[in-house]
Amino acid sequence: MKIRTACLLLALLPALAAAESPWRLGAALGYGERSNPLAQSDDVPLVLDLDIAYFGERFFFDNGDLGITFADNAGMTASVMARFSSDRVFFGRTDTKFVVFDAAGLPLSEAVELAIPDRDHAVEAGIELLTDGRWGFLQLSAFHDVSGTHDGFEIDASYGIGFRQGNWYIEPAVGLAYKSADLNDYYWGVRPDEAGIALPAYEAGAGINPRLRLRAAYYFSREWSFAVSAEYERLNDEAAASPIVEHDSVLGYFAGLAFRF
Amino acid sequence: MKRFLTLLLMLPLAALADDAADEAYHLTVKPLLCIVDARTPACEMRFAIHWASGVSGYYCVFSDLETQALRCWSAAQSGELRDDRSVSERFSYWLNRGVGEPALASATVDVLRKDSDDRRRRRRTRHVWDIL
Repeated sequence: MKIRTACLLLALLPALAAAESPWRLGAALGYGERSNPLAQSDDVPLVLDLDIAYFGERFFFDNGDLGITFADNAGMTASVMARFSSDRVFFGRTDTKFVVFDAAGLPLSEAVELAIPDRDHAVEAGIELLTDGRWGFLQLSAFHDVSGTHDGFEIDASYGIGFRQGNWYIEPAVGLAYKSADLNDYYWGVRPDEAGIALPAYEAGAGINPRLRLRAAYYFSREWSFAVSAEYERLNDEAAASPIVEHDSVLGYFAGLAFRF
Repeated sequence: MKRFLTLLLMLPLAALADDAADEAYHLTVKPLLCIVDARTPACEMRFAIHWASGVSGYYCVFSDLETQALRCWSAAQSGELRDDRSVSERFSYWLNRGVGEPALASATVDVLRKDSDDRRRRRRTRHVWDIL
């Protein structure tokens, strides 16, 4: 009887922990990719996705976002936040190549090295406003660089709504991200000292990235599900026109088996 | 420490022994999961319930939601029934030999809440690769 009780307790431990804990933990194993809009770059692969979040009374950590909530009521949740810039992710997977054509497509007399300039991570701080209801959820945020990396800012708005159909849960969402000229130019511009025959100097202005996203999950149980996700983001015209950009959009997808603790 | 290790090693054996004891009675219920959120706070579900026993006898199927048996069978070794319910909380069906008798087999219908009581959790969605 004691052994049976011990077995039962061991089996129930994850559920008990989930009910009491401020932690939210999950993992998904599968395959996915996020395309890289940069020239001479590799797509970003995804095999394992981890969901690690902690929600205290005021403080929270949610997959890289740090925040302190200063207002939380039936109408709205408002928090001050810190995070890393999202545009940097593409610059970690670039290659150096030798080209025999210049930026205008004209042949060169000898092969010239073409390297995508390196860009740093930026720490951004800002405010996030969240609300939801039977009509879906709405998120507004404004972030400014506080690390002296790009000195720019980003304003983001997104809306989504969830639908249940049997064991499926489907959540489409749309969003717009305004990127200031300083932010855009830091990541997508080419400074005179980085320019060459194959890579002309370029100054990027401000722009808006629209995006669409669809998430769907088929739940086998409270813990296990099969999750699929797809996201399309169109780069703003100023970024898309940069000589270091080859594709004007970013497409990401993932499908895999997910477990929520 | 030694007793703890012994206990750990015996866990799989204990599970096997329990399985063998339960083999005589089977209760299957489909579906076993209800997903709710703010827009759909309850699931309208039709449950297909099937039981079987190695021994012929008097059996009843109960649920947490009613004090009366959903249905009883005399001199039976198996049975089926359908049960229509509006579900918003976790509950169980179980098979026994009548009111007050111990459960011989059970099945639990789980409820997955897509909306957390914590507004921040509910309202936040992860960034680029949020798939869970």
